[in-house]
Amino acid sequence: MTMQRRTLLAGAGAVGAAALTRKARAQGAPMPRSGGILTVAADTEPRNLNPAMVASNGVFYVASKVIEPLAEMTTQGDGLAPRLATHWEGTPDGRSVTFTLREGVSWHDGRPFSSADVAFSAMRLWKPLQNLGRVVFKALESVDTPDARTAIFRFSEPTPFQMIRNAVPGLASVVPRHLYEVGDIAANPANTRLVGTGPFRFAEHRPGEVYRLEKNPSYWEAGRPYLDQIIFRVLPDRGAIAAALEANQIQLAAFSAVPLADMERLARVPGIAVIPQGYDGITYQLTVEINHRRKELADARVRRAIAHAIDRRFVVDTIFLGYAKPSTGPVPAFDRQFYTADVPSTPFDRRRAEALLDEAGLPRGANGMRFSLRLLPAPWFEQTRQFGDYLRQALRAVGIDAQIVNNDAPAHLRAVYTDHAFDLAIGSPVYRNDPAISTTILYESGLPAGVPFANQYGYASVDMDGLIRRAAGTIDTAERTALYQSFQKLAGTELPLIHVAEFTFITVARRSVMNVANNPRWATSHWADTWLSS
Amino acid sequence: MRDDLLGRAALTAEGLIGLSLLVVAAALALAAPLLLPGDPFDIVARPLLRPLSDPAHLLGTDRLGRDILAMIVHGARPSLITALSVAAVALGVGMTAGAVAGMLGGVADEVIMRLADAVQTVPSFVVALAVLSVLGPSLPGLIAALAVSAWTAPARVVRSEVLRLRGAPFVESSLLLGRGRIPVALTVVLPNAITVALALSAVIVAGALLSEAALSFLGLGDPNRPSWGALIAEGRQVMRTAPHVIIAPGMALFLTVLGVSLVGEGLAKALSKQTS
Repeated sequence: MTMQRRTLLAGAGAVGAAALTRKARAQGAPMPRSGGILTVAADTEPRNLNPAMVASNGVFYVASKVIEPLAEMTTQGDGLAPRLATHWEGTPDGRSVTFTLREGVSWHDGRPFSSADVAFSAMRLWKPLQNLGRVVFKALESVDTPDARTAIFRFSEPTPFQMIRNAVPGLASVVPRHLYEVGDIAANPANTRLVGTGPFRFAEHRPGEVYRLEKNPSYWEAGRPYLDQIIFRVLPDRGAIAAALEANQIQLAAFSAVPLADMERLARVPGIAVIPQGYDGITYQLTVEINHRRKELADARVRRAIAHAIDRRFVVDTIFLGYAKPSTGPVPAFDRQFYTADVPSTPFDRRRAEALLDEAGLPRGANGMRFSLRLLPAPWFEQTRQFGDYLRQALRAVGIDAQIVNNDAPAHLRAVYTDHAFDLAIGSPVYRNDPAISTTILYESGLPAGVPFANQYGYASVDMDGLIRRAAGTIDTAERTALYQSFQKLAGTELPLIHVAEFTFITVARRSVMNVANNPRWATSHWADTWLSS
Repeated sequence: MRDDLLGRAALTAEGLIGLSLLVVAAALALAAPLLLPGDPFDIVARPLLRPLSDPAHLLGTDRLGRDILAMIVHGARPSLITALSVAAVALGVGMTAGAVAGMLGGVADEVIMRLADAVQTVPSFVVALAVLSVLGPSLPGLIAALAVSAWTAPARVVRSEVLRLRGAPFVESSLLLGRGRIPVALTVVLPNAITVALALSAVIVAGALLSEAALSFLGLGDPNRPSWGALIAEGRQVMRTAPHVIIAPGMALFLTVLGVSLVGEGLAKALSKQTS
């Protein structure tokens, strides 16, 4: 049944995508129509909407239409499509990267865009202020601007060009220097009233109601964008989002804003398409985070036992209704550059789990339990909470008494990443196209308490730290790739974290919305080519 | 006289229906481990099984394949324990405070009743939310959070009864025997004011049941025990596709609150007959 449902849903998605293409062809390959207002669902209103400072999907969802990166991800060619940069090249020594910038681009306030804006964004925002940029641009020493169309990034230590390329779509959003050079960047009003070069201009934000974006008539790409306006309606209630879609009050809901359980029904509603594509570039990984300060959990056999107690197939089929894949390690299978399946695996095997726990000197006590621990599911997704309920039962089956502790988002972040007041936590780190961007930080030791989505687990391994350091300083692409494959193997052997499933999201849209999901970061890309058929 | 009142309340139509609903709820709560042994959170079947489609899972299953009937039956116990404990604490504290205030008068009366005023100016649900976010989600925390604002109503009612009875000959004679005002308030006056407060208890229990569900619905209950509110919250996510997940616990809550209210109604009727 689950299998059938999954096939059915996948089928529905494929039919949807095929229908879109067919329709486009029938109208003369393709004959987009200009005009119209696209209303979409938004569920969060980030306090700081500046993508050069806050690289997160909640920010990108709105901001990526207004502020552009140097380049965007694509499934074609070498994986990068030009945006503000038209060409990029790294030197073999890893000491510099040269970006050639687009001509004839202007900011929404009319000022011309130039290499000075790129240099300013990189040196003053990405490197010192941005959550992810601090890691990737750590060794960035200066950005030279020999002319208005050229920005040369200079690094104090060899920095792999491969990593910079992989980081550009998410980390290299360019903001206008003339608005940011005076005063405190963090308090700049342009962080909430965005000014960019993108296809849409920021028109207004009515808190609790809408973000409204308007067509930028002087966008650098002639004839784009097609839409007159994009309206993000703030709808925190999932049920309300599904109802609004059915009533055509909104035309699109991204990031699985509609409950997964409703997808099957929605897929049958005429005029609505369920589209599981368009998120590969932002794969999330359902992960069991482990506090190694807890003596039972410091034993690799116990961690391995926990991994064997988890039925990944059940998690994928039931919690994700088939919209996910079982994980093998810290790099998702989608990644074509670094992924290796050749890692130690922990298949679902309760008997093996029990044997390992016995071996670790943790026999079942009088109440049938071996030991008890606190389990903190992250509150951000329906699935992180549901997996918490599942894991509690899965652990009880092998004699581990897990008590769930629920927190709101700030309390959860504090408990796990600052106070370390947890034994197991359930998180969903994002894989961002290169292990060096947001993945190895989950494994390297020596980070201060309070850095979120990082190794706050008390895990410290000389081998692991050495491997991460070596890979970070390796310029050669083949050698670097090989090192990250060893990293995946070591992660599977020491198992400091347990990766359970990799998942992306689903877009539900009216069939009148065209060019949906046509790149791997679609929901967080510029939507210049999105259009509405009548 | 009191037993007589309860007896008469039970004989009204409302009282009879209400009482039978409550007996069923209490029986289910008490017998839960016998009726449906094992962990109610166990994943036992396919997810979102419809009700009545499988005799082993009469009310169907939820998103993970857990038996809804088992969770409702096991969830009855914390709900009822919470509601009854809140009522007990609220009545105990409220009646004592009311009796003392009414009997002593003066400064004690002022202090107690102004405190009651202060508590009543803040919406009780907001108080409960605040208390729970400080104490963290747990059963004792939940009871304390709800009792904090529930004691004021019985305090007021009992105080006015005490003011009425204060000059009665049997109270005067107790005082003349040289007993203190507080012992007299608690042992002589209070038993005579209790019937009025009892009628209030139904309102408190019903309110506590609903508040408990609402707090669990918001995720402030104990996630390691089944609870109706948490089930309703989960059911809301799949309401349009699998409405039974929200309807079943909703009905359980509705019927229990209905039972309590009907018993309260019966009590009130019997009371008005008695006084008329």
